[in-house]
Amino acid sequence: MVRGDGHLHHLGWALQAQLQRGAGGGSGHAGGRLCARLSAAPGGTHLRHDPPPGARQAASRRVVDLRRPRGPASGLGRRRQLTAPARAGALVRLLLDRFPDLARSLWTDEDSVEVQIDGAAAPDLLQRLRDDPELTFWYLADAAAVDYGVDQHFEVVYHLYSDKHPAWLRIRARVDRGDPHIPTITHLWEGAMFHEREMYDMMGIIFDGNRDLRRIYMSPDYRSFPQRKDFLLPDDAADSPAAGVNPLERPETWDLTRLTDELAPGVIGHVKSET
Amino acid sequence: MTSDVQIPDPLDLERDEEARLRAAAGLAPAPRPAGEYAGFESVGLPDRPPETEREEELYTLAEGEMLVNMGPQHPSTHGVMRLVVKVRGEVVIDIDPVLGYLHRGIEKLCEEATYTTVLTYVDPMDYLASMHNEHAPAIAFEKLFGVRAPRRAEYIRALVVELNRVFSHGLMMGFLALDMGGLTPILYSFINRDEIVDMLSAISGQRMLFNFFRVGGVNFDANDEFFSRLGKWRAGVHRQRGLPGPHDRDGRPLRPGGDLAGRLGAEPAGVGRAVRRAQGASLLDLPRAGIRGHHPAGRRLERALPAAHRRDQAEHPPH
Repeated sequence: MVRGDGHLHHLGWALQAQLQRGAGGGSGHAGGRLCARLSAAPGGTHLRHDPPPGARQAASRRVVDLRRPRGPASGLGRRRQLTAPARAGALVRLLLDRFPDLARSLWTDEDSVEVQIDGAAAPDLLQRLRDDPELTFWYLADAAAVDYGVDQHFEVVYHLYSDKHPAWLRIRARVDRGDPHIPTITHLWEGAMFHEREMYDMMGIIFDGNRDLRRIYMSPDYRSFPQRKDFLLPDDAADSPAAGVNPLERPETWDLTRLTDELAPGVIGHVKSET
Repeated sequence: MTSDVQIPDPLDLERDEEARLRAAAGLAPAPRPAGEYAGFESVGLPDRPPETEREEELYTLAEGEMLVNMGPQHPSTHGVMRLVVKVRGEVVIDIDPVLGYLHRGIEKLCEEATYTTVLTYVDPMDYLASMHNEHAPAIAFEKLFGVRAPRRAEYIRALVVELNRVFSHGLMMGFLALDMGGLTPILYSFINRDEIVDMLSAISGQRMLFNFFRVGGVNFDANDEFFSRLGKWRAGVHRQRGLPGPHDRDGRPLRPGGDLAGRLGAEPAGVGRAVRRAQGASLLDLPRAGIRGHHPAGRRLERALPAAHRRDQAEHPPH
C-alpha cells in the first residue's frame, strides 16, 4: 500500500529501510537487497567484498525467517523427558517439590506439563493437587479414557486447571486391560460422574466406589464397549432389532476371504477365513 | 376405601416444619414409609432390579411421588436428552438425565479418518458455534506437527471465533426464554445471528458448518464484504442494548441461573467460572485468567486493544 508520502507502508520497517538505501552500497551492508546473506556485489562477481561478520550484524536488520517455526511451536511434537531441571518452569519445580517421587514420571513440552502415574494412585494425587494451597488445581476440565491398542493398556487422562500460575496439568493414569479397575474421583468432583459413566460405557473401565456406574449413552442391556479398538459392529447386530440392515453390521461385509485372487488378483495377501 | 388412602400433600408445610424442628432438637428425622421400586416401566424401559445405589434411590417411589418422562421430543430438551423426573405433586425432587440421543460416534469415525477429515467431522459437534470445534483440533495438530499459523491467520481466527461466541451466546439467551415459555426473544436472537451469519458466509462460504480452519491457518482470507458487514453490524450492535431482556410471566426480569435454577454447593463440582458467576459468586472470589486466556494470539490481541477498551474491560470483566 502506498500512502500519500510515497513510502511503502505495507512492508515492515526493516525491509523499507533496506530498499530505500539504494543499490551498490559497498561492503558494509546489503546494498539494497532484501537478504543480507548474499555476498556477491553488483558489477563484478570476481571482486568479492565479503563484509566482516561483526559489521554485517550491526549494519543491517535481519529479515524474519518465517519458514522456521518459532516460539512454542519450535520444539513440539517430541516428548522430552525432564532431564534439565534448570530449564523447567515454575510449575514443574513446584510439582517436584511437593511430589518428589514423581520426578521420573513428569513430562513436559513447552506449554503443557503431564504426569504419568498408575491408576491406583490417581485419586490421592488429584486430591493433593486440588487442596494444596500453592497448587490449587480446582477445575477438572476433562476426564477421558484412551485405548492404545488391542494388546495394550488403557489410560484415564485427567485435565486440571489452576489459574494461580496459571497452568494446565494433565494426569495420565494407566489402567490394565485385563483388569480395568481404577478408583473413582466423584468424591472430589461431582461433575466427574458423567465422565466416569462415559468411560465405563465406551471402554469398560470400572470405577471402584462410583455410586452410579451404569451406561450413559447405550441402552442398559448393551453388551459391548464401543470405543475399544477391538469393537466389531457385526457382533452387536444380532442383538439389535435392526439386525444388520446397515451393511457395516453384517459379518459378510467384513469377510475378506471372498476377495479371492480370481476377483482381485494380487490385492489381498494372506487372508485366512475365521473358521 | 379411597378415604383411607393418605396421599401426602407435596407442599406439606407441617411435615417440613416437623422435620426442621426435629433437626433443631437434635433428633433423627421421622422415619418415612419405605418406598417401592418402580423400575423403568413407567418411563419406557423393561423392569429389572436396580444396578446401582443411585438408581435405586432415584427409582424408588414413596407415597405421592411419580416418575414423569420428559422425553427427547420436548421443546426444552432440544432432541438431545431425556429427563426422567421424579415429582412430588408439582415439585421436582429428583432428575435422571438419559443421554445419547444426539451421539453420532464422532470419535469412532475420527479413528478411521485422516487429520483433514477430522476437521470436518468435529464441525457439527456444537453446530451453533462451529469454529470453536474446529479451532481446538487445528491447534492440536499444529502442536503435533510443529507448525505455526501466520499472524494474520491467527488474527482472523480470533476474530471469527469471537463472532461465533457472540452469536452462540445470543442464541442461548433466546432459547433460555423460549424454554421457559417466552416466544419473542428468540426472534431477536435470530436477527442478531443472521447478521453475523451473513458476514461469516462472506468469509468462509458457508452459513452454518463453516469448515474454515486448516492446519496452519484458515481457508480463505478476509475480504471487503466481510469487513463491510462487520462494520455495519458493530455500528448497529450498540443500539440493541436498549432492548429488554427475557422476563417471566409476572414481568420480572429473568437472570440466568438466578432464582429458578438449582444451586451448587461450596464443594468443587468441576464447573467453570461462568457457571459459578451465574450462581452469584463474586468475581473477586472466583479465580480468573486474563481476558483472552492463554493463547498467544489472544495475548497479542489484548495488547493491541486501545486503552479505552482495556479500561472498559477492567471495569466490566467478561467471563
